Amino acid sequence: MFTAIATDAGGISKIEIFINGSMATSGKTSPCVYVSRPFPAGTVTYNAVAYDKVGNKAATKSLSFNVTTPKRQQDTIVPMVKAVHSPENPTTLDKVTFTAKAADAGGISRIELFINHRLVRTTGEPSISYTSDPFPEGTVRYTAVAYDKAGNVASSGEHTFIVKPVELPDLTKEIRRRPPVRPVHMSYQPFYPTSLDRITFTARAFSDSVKKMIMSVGSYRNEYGFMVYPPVAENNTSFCEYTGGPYAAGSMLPFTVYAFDENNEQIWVGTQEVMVADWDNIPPQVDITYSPAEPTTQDIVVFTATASDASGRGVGKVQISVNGSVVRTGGYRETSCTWSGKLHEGRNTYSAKAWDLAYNSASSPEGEINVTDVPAEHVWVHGNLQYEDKFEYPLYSPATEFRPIRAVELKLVAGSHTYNCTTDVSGFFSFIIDRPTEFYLKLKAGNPAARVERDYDWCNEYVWWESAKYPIPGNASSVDLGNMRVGADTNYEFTAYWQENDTLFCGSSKHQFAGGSAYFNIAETIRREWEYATGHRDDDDSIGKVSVAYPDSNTLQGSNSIPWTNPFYGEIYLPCDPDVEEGRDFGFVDETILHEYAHHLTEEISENDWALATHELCTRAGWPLNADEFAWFEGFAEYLSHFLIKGSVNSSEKLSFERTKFVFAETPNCPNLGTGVEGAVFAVLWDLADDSSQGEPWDTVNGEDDTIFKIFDTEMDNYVDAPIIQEFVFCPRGWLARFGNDPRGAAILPILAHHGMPTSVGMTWGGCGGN
Amino acid sequence: MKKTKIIIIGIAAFLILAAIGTWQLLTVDSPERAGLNHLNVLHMRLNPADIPFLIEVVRKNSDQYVRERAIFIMTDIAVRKDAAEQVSSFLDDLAYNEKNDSVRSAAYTNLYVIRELDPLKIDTNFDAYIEGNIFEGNTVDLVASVNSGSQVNEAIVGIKRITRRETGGAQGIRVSTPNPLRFSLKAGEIKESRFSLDLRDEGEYLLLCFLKLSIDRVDYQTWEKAILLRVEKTGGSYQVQE
Repeated sequence: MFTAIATDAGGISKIEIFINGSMATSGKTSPCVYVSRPFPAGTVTYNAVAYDKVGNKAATKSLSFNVTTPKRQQDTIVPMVKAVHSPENPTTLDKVTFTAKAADAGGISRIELFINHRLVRTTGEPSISYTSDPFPEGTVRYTAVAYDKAGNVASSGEHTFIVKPVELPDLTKEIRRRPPVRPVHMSYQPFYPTSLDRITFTARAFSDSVKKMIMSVGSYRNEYGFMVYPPVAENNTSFCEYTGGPYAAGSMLPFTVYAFDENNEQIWVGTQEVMVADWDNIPPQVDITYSPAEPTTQDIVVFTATASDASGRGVGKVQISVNGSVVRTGGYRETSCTWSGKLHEGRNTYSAKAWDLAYNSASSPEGEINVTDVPAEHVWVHGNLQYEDKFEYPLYSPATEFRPIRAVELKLVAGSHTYNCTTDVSGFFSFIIDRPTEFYLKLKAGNPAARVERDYDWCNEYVWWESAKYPIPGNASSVDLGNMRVGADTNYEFTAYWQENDTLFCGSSKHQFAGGSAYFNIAETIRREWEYATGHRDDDDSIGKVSVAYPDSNTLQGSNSIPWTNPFYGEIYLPCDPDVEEGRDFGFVDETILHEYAHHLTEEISENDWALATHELCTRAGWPLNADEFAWFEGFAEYLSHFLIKGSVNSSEKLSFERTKFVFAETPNCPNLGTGVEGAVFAVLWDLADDSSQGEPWDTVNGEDDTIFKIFDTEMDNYVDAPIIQEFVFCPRGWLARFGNDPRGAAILPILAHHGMPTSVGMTWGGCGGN
Repeated sequence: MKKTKIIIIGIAAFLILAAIGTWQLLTVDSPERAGLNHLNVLHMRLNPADIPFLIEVVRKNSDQYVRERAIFIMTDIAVRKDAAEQVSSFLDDLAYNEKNDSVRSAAYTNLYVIRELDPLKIDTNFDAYIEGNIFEGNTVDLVASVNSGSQVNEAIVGIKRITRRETGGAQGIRVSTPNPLRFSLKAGEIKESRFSLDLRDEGEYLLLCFLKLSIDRVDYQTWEKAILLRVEKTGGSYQVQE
């Protein structure tokens, strides 16, 4: 950022900033500020030239600095990686979870996990987890390898653990008294055997205690009526297998394993029942229905598909398709499923498909539904309102920018119906309307804080904006209007109009004009100050809406058309007049808008007497005005406008710097200061609220804007007399009283002294008011 | 045994699916997690039964923009479905206490939308009339009379504007006493405020009187009364316009 400051007794007419020999920017007031983009590496030279009002010119000497390219450090540091397993001492029955974590300043690109020298898992995350099946007895080795984003590799080192067999308790005596750990795993293949299949039965022992297994398949009743389970296999090892069948369908085939220990004592018995189904190639049956019988485009149509399987194996799953796409697949072994949704106008198709557990499948015939179009009851109309902001003071680029129109009065007119809406923080609006054939939007420059019109004289020239008429497509339920813009000097999606309100004495014709975004900048700038006020209140009175006349400004008595506030009317006048400040458009001068609205706040929640006059920062108001009251009235407005502008610098929507006096706020350059000079009040409040005391030994207070506003709100709203800065400091709810023994209380005294104000109550003034 | 195993697996699967289903319902329906799409669906329904849910969204959701949208949508539903009383006190409380600027502003903005369509029912009488002989060079009083059916902590009454028909400016009549006047008002009490008007020049003037009753930090109501005043060299007349 380059800042050029120039002073001249007769005033400065222009300042130019040159960078590398080219003019980067120019301004009419001091300071002149330019924020550059980053420079490439090399030397940058710069200087400034200032002109006074009679054409004298002065230049700074040429200065320079060197721009370097930031160095990037190469990453050669290997990542850290650690691997663990759980449980710590697994048995042959335990699953084992391996976890590895890696860390590196430049980030981890992947981790690999090796078990017994075999890669089992890779991840791009900084941690990895893998759970294995139980390992056989013996030693397991594992390693985690991590790679960082620079390609450096590190290993966790090889970890080992020993898998031990399960230590079974002595079951010879206790087998019937306590449940044993299951020592044998039983299985059979195929899992869904049919009457055509041979079945392989398997038993695998996991305990060293098991020395013999006997396997039994099937059963029969003997001649004495007892059920007999005939043994089919016997083995003295940890593994036993038997293949038999085919078996008859329709019954549950018992499959039993008996386990014995070294003493030939039975230590365990397990039984499963194997269902043998009929072999079949018969597909299931599937049907699909829907309701309502004659759906429209607005109906939710419910499809229900139901399947059955005559073979007895059962239904595997059911699926629904609509218009050629699978829309729902039911769960495993569920015999039905449903799907609901809207259908498009015209011909729609539907079908169902089902599988049985033998993987036979069948589909229903494809059905057709002719859907009639019935428009939605409601239509959602939405979009974003934007206005074009202009910056005459070229601190920011570009010089214009579209910004959201917030909290605005917006109407949607559809035939005889009018819908009301306001916009949110992003300018978004949303109407739910009964279905019309067409509609248009009507916009007023108003929000909870302000209304803005051309004027409020007898005839009252009111302004508004109308969009084109938008048709609503036949069956649309949503209309997205996108960005709806009000230009500065151009009509985009809206056309601007004004009309005199009084039809009896005045003209009543409707006039069109171009753009008009200044109306919205005024409303939004005031809304931001109002928003700040609502967030820092200390009292319970309300802030009424202000009326702004722009640009048909009312003239202040005895002066030309200048920006001013009539607080008793609740009106602000902002000109855009060729004869005022070379035609400056005050609709875009945020400092002025904020300053004038601060006067309105003073009237609404504080107090002022009749304190209207043209003024300068250093002048002291004369009779009939009270100088101290006038200085507070103007100094507070000056402070609040500058504080809000400075606070906006870090926001996405900066307030314009045009006409600001930040240099004065820091160093008020007046011949005389004191309680009767608005510049001094401005400087005192600024010192209390700003966030820097650098180079100001008298200022040890920072960021107390909230306290300032609360005192303004509560302490200074006298009903019968306007406040002055002494009340702000010394009255019962003023600065000193609020802080009590807190050092910030007394810290105001050197600030007062620095700006030529008394530091005690030893003077006469109207008193502390009280309401 | 196998059947038992299948049943156990089935029950476990059911429990997992039930848990997932419950989680999804919570995801969709809880105020803490509601998103903009969910709010837009509620907006389309225009159902006052959704207002309590929207209030909970404002209270519990961590996304400030979602909270703000919930305020706009609950207000639209309330206004459209004659359910303003469901949201007014909630918005009033938000306007007082909410820290987030956008949410607080939304509360104010939407409360004013409700007040515009459903004004506070304040039992108030506001009359204005002229006392004295109207003619150029004389001084007359404009009397504004106010009474309210309920206690008002701050009332402001005054002459907001004097407009001369021929010029659009105020020259010709000067208010020579303090304007406006502030006072508190007890229930049933009648207060008369007098403003002296120096009739300096003949002409036709429109005097706009106003009354503002400040109920609290959020709520206020204003009334205006226009007086058409004709000042002539030797006489004059006035007419109160409703």
